[in-house]
Amino acid sequence: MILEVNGLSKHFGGIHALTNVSLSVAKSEIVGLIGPNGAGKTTFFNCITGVYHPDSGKILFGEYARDITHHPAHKVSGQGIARTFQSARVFASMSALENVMVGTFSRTNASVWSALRCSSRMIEEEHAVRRRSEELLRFVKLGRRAFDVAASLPFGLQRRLEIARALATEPRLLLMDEPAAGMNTAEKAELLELIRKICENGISVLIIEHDMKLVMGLCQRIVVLDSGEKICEGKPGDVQCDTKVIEAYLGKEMHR
Amino acid sequence: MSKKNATSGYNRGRLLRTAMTVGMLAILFALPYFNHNEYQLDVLVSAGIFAILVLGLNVMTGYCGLLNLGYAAFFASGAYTYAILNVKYGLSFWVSLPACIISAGALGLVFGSCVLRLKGDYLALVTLGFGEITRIALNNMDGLTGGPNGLTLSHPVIRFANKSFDFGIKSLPYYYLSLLALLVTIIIMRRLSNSRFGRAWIAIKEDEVAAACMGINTGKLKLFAFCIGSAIAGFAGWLFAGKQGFVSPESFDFTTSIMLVAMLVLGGIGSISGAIVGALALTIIPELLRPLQEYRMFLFGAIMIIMMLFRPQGLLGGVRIFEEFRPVSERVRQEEDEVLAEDLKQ
Repeated sequence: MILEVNGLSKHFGGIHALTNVSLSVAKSEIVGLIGPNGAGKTTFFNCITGVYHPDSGKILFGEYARDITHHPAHKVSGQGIARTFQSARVFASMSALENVMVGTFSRTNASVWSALRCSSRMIEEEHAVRRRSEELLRFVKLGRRAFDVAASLPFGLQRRLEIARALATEPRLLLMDEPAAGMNTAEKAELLELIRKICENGISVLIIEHDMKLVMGLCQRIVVLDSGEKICEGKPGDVQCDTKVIEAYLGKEMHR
Repeated sequence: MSKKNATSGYNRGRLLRTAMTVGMLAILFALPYFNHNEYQLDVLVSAGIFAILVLGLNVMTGYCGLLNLGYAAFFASGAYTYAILNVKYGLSFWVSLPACIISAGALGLVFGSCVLRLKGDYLALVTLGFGEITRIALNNMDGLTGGPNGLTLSHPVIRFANKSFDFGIKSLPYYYLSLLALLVTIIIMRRLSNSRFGRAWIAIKEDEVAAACMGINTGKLKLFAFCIGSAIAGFAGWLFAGKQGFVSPESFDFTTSIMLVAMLVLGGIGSISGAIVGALALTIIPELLRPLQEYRMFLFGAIMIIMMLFRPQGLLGGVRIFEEFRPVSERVRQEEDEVLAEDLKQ
C-alpha cells in the first residue's frame, strides 16, 4: 500500500464533511473516488494534502507507512503526493514552462547565495530543471505551448498543464480532482491515455471524477462517498450494481 | 524555419539587448558631462534612490503579492542606522553600510514573522500602522534620533593612500554612487527573479494553496521576500542619509510609502524595468509641474487616474517575459513538428 487512510473525519462547525472514511491505494493502482455533489470528495483530498487538518483519523504514506496526518501542504508534497485542482489553478501570469518549473521547487536545492552568485552548480540545476520541465510538457502534449502565458491557454490545456506541474514534483501518488470536467469526448480519450501512461510510470492515481464512462474504464477499484461517509468500495462492475450507490445517485425507490 | 536561423535570431535579439544596455549605461554615465545643472542632477539622484526602493518593494508586493503600505519604515531604519552610527559613534559612511542593510533586514524579519499570518488588506493595514508607529517613535526618541530636529551627518569621504576625496554637497558624486547602487540592486533583482525563489514568489502571489501543494514552503518564502525587500530599503536609506547629510522623521512619513506604491503600480507591478520607470516618472513629473504650484497635484492625480483607466497593469507591467532559453523551445517545436509529420504519414 502506498496510501492508507484510516477513519478520517472532518467537520466544519456542525457540518460533518467526512465521517470515518478509510481508503487505501496500492502501488501503480488507479482508484476512483466518486459520489454525488457535496459528498466530501474534495474535502478528502484537502485533508490528505495538508490543506485542511482532519479532526481524527490517520493518513499513512509510502512503503514505510509514514504518518503524514498533520503535515503542512509543502511537506506532504515533498513526501511524494501531488494533486491537481477541481478548477484548474495554474499560475496565470507565468508561462506554461515556468508553471512546470515551479513544481520542481522541492526537488531542487540551489541556495539564495548561489542564485545571487550565479554559481555553475545553480546554472546546471536550472538547465536540468528546464529540460525536465520541457520533457513533462511534451509528455502532456503541451511542448509547443511552453512559452505561452498559462492564462491564455484554453481550459482543457490548463488542466493538462496542471498535470505536468504536478508530475514535476516527482510524486509517487497523484490526486486528480475532476480532471475531465468541461472536456469534450476527444479530449477525454486523450486524458484517459495520459492517466494510463502516468500509471505505467509507477505512479499511483487517486481520481475524483463524475464521468462514469471514464471512471469505469480507467479504475481498478472504486470508492463511493455519500454525505461524508464511505458507502461502497469495489470493482467498477460491482459498484455500478450496488443498491446503496444507486440510491445515493438516483434517490430511494418509493414504497407505496 | 531551420534550426540555424532560429538560433541566430535569438543571438541577434540578445546582441541587441546587450547593445541597448551598454548604450543606456554609457548615456547615464556621461550625462553629467553634458548637463551641469545641479538641480536636475539632484532630482536624478532622488529618482535613483526611489528606484532602488521601488525595486525592494517590488519583491514584497510585485513578486510575492504582500501589499506593504509602511515601506518607509524600513527605509527609515537604514537611514537612521547610519545616522546614529555616524553621530554617536563616529563610524564612516562606508563602514556603516552592512549595519544599515542588516538592521533593516532584521527589522523586516522580526516584523514579518509577526504579521505574515495576515493576508491581503489586513496585512496592508498592519504595515500602514507599523509605518506610522516608526515615524512617531523616531519623532519622540529625542535622545537617540534627535526627534523632529533630526540628525546632521558628516559627508562621505573616500580615503585612498594619503589622498582623500570629500563627497561634499555637490550632486555629482552622489549621482555616480546612486547609479552604481541602482545597478547592483538591478543585478540582484534579476538574479533572484529568474531563480527558483523568484518563481516560487510569483506562484505564491498567483495562488497560495496551489503553491503550497507544489512543495513550496509559503510561510518561509514570504518571510524571505519580506526580509530581502526591507534589506534593500535599508540600503536605499543608507544612500539617502549620505546624500542628504541630514535625516528627520518627515522624510519617512505615510506619503512616502504611498508614493512608493504608486511608483510601483504606475511602472508595472512585478517588473524590474517597470519599477525603475515608475520611480523616474513619479520623481520627475512633479518637478516638471512645479510652475503650476499647488495645482500640480491635480494634474498628478489626473495622470494616475488616466493610467488606471487605460493601462491598469502599469507602463511596463503585465506578463513576465522569460526569454533566456528560447532556443530550447525552438528545438522542442521542431521535434514536435517532426512527430506531427510522422503521425500524418501513418
